[in-house]
Amino acid sequence: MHNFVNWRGSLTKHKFQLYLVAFLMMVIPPVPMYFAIANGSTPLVYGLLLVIILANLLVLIIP
Amino acid sequence: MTFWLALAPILLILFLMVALRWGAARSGAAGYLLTLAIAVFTFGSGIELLAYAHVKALFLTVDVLLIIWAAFLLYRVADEAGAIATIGRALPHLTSDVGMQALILGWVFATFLQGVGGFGVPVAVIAPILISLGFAPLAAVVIPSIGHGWAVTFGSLGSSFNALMAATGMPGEELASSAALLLGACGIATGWMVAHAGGSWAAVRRLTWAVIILGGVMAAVLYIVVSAGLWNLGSMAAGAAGLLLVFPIAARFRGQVNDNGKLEIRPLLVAMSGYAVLVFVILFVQLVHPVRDFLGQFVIQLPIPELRTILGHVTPPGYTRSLYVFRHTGMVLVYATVLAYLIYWRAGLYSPGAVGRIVNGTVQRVTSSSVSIASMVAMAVIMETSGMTATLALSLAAFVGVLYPLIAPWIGAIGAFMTGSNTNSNVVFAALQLRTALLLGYDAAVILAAQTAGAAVASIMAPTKVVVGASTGGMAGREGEVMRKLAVYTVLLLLLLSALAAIGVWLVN
Repeated sequence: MHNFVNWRGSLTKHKFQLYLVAFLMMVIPPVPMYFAIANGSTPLVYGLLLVIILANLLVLIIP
Repeated sequence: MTFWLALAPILLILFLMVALRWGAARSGAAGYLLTLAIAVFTFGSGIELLAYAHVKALFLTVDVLLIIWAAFLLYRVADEAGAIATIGRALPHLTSDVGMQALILGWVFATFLQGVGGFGVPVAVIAPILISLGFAPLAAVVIPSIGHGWAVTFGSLGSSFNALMAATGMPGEELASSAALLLGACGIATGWMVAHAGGSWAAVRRLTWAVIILGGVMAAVLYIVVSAGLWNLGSMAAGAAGLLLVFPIAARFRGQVNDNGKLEIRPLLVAMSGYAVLVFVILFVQLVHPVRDFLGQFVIQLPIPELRTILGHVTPPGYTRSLYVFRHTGMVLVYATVLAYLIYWRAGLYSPGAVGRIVNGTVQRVTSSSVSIASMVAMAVIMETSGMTATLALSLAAFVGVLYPLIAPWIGAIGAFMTGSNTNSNVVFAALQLRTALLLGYDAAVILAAQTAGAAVASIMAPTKVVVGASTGGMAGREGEVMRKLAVYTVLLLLLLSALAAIGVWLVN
């Protein structure tokens, strides 16, 4: 319980930095994604899509 | 079944924001993830479609966010110089008539502030001033909340309208005049509502002509300015025209007390000069063609091939949104912001460390809303390219049929209520409204005007906005009272919009 409170507190304390990281993780991957899909590098596209999904999951846990 | 699955992300956002009171960023992220899952597993979207959808979403996101960032930067530059406070303090000197004070501050000045700032600024700035003038806290929060709603679409230097254009791909020239007509009508009605909230029915009767003249002029200016293609200046120009007009009108409603204080003209002019520069810069870039062409040379745009889902939904080949790097409205706002800063700096209005406070304040304020817009834009584009929006549109057209113009403003309103923003509502629902209008053979410009006008007037009672407004007006913990009061006015405005949209569609068709 104590760890959970600490964890939440830490997230709240760094809210701005976390939002900034999440935002960059959302807007940067589409750029290489465009060239990757044009070159047929499907595994790379999956990887970049995963980064965007992780960014949204990160936003979900920010209190 | 597919209808409910296509609707699920929207319902999820509504549930999270309204029932669980999540913020727009978290709700948008949840909506995005659900949309992605449904697009892949139910609507048969492949990796290629998703990749290109994210590329399109990135261009839309940047297009919308550049304006939001720059508009807030300009607001911070003016606020740090004390310009907003100076304008706010000057206006009550014009009259001691309570109803007229409500109109000047809660309607005309709120319109101007929404035009130049937005982001909850009108309520945050005006509510404390009204309380200092003796208004009850509930009225002080409600008055500017109602008063600025009609100015939201063309407010924040046009960011919501820009989102409408971006989400539909329709040119502003086709959309602006219909939207201005509906919003102008709401603006006049809003004046009476502000008089009612500020005074009583007696104030409504006493100030009827003031409302008609002020509202008529502001609505006309809005229409003329946005029809001329200057939609970034629409609400600001309407508010500025109203502010000029309140001087002669307030002289007829000075109230019982003669001591209205002395109005300091010079600080007021210096405060307003930052916004005068903005008007000048926008006009300069829009109307001087060599400048416009020179700045428009560097464009970023990518081709998108035909996209097809496994279920056969086809998005024809096209391009991403064009980003004119140096002529983008956001960049024009940055030029104006730099000039405004220099004017205030020359006037000695900044204390040491002002630049740091301006930049920090802007970045801190816009980061979470940038995240929510990035998620929601991606969600809306995936819905569009995967065929979810088309499914919703087809079902709505079948369910509602000829009555669609009546509910179009309510769809926009639900979007604004759940996302807390006219911009987000346009991002999420504009494509759906466009498709449904085309399916039913209705004029798209009228339906989209109803969408954005409904979103604008309903955005004032979004839970997120009400919480901010209530906290600045000393009503924290009493948000329910504010919302109940606002609900009556909002529903009346939406009924007006339904009627106007139906008449508009009937006239055009």
